[in-house]
Amino acid sequence: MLKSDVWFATIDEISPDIRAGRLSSVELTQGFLDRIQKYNSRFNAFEHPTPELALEQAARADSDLKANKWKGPLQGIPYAAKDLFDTRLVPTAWGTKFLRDRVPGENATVIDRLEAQGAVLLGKTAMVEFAGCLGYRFANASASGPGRNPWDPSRWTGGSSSGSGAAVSAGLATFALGTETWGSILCPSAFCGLTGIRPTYGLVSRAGGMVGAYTFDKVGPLARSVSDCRTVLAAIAGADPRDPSCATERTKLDRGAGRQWRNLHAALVPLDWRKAGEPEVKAAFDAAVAELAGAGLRMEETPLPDVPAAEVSGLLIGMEALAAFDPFIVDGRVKQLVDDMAPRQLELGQIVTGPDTLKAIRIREAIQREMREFFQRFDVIVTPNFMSVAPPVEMDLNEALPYGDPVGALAAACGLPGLALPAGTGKGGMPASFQLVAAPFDDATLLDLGDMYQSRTKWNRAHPALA
Amino acid sequence: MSAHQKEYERQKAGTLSTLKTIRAYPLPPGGDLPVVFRPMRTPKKGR
Repeated sequence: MLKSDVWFATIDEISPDIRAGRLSSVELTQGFLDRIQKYNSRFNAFEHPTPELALEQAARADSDLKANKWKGPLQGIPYAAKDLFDTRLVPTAWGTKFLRDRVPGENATVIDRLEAQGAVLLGKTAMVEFAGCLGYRFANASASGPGRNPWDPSRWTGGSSSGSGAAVSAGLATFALGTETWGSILCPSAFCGLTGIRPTYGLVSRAGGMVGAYTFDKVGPLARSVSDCRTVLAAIAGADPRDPSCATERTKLDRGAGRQWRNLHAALVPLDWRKAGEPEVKAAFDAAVAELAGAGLRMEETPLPDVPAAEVSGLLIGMEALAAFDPFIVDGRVKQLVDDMAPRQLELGQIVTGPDTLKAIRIREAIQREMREFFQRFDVIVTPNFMSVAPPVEMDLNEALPYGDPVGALAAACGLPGLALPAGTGKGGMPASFQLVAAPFDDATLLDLGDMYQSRTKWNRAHPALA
Repeated sequence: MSAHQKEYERQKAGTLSTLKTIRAYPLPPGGDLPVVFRPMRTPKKGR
């Protein structure tokens, strides 16, 4: 008999039971599949559940354990993957309707790596079409409809990893893979009350994943704790000959591999809460800062370098996306996307000249140098993910989220790792969240600091009550 | 003006504003080789 809280349990909690034979992966997987059947249409979490594959993988996990083959903490753990990772003989549609018949012949590297660890794929999660790389203004820009937040289905999950956020938040998977070009892991983590890590660019292979923007895309997990994020990240990180942008040097991610948080110097970015900032979210963020300060983290308010990170990231993502999706622009299928401005992105892109793009690349390196100096003075940035809670699904996102994202822009431009941490609630009991951002390849420091925060608070364990 | 065209004009204004910033940003001539090109080695049989 499964415990009722197993749907919201962490890998750390489930794995020992599976390993000891107290919990069978098949039973657990079947339970998740039943919940997907029951709840999926409420949240638009999964685009394509894979029940047969999941039960086959779960049975293998159980039989391997009976044969004393221990593959690690992910063995038998059910997870979900954003529908832009290639999965052998399973449709992978990148959030669009017109690619629903696209069936890859092999797995993305991250899917292979999780399979090698014995993880169980429950299905492919819904996402914003083309991961939002051709732009979108409304939550419904997805073949699956808008991602509906399990905390309040009238509100958005965040995007573009919308289904990954909904699936974990609703207890339909123990963790999920997402991707981020600019914000797409941290945003749904924040709005759905999850812990999510955007690894340093190049730490995790993108081979077999949809390319949205070649020099910006990252792969990372959305989960229930920092510890779970660390476990998943350790399983998927590492050099890959299939992805030449992948870092070849090994990055240590073990607990304690980061720099001692007691010696860290954190930067607090001054924020203007007057433009759509919500007092409840500000109070939640202030409480998180007080918690970190109380633990002994040294923090100082300081402005970010004055560099055009938003312009550079925005322009380069746009140009790279136009190149990546060129075949669909040429053959006209871009007109089948939900966002009615997507077909006009080429027209807008043609305002930008070749020299503009190359200059943006040069400025990007100047920004990297500025941030390298910044991270010689500060070890981490502590800042809210959003100054408001998840907006209603029908709202124009330009109006719902009118404030800038200066830390996100810098992180996108420089490939910085970021960790989203739940931090209480805002309006209507919706999750509030903050982020830690560090220098490239300092992911372990973020995880260690996040671990410390979650050892002192339990916001990451809150979950919605589903009827 | 239709809502679609209004949104197009909004996005166009955003692109033009971005370009103004990019074009005005001072950089030295040449720069530090931010664009890295690597020739691809061709594996040869019999070597």
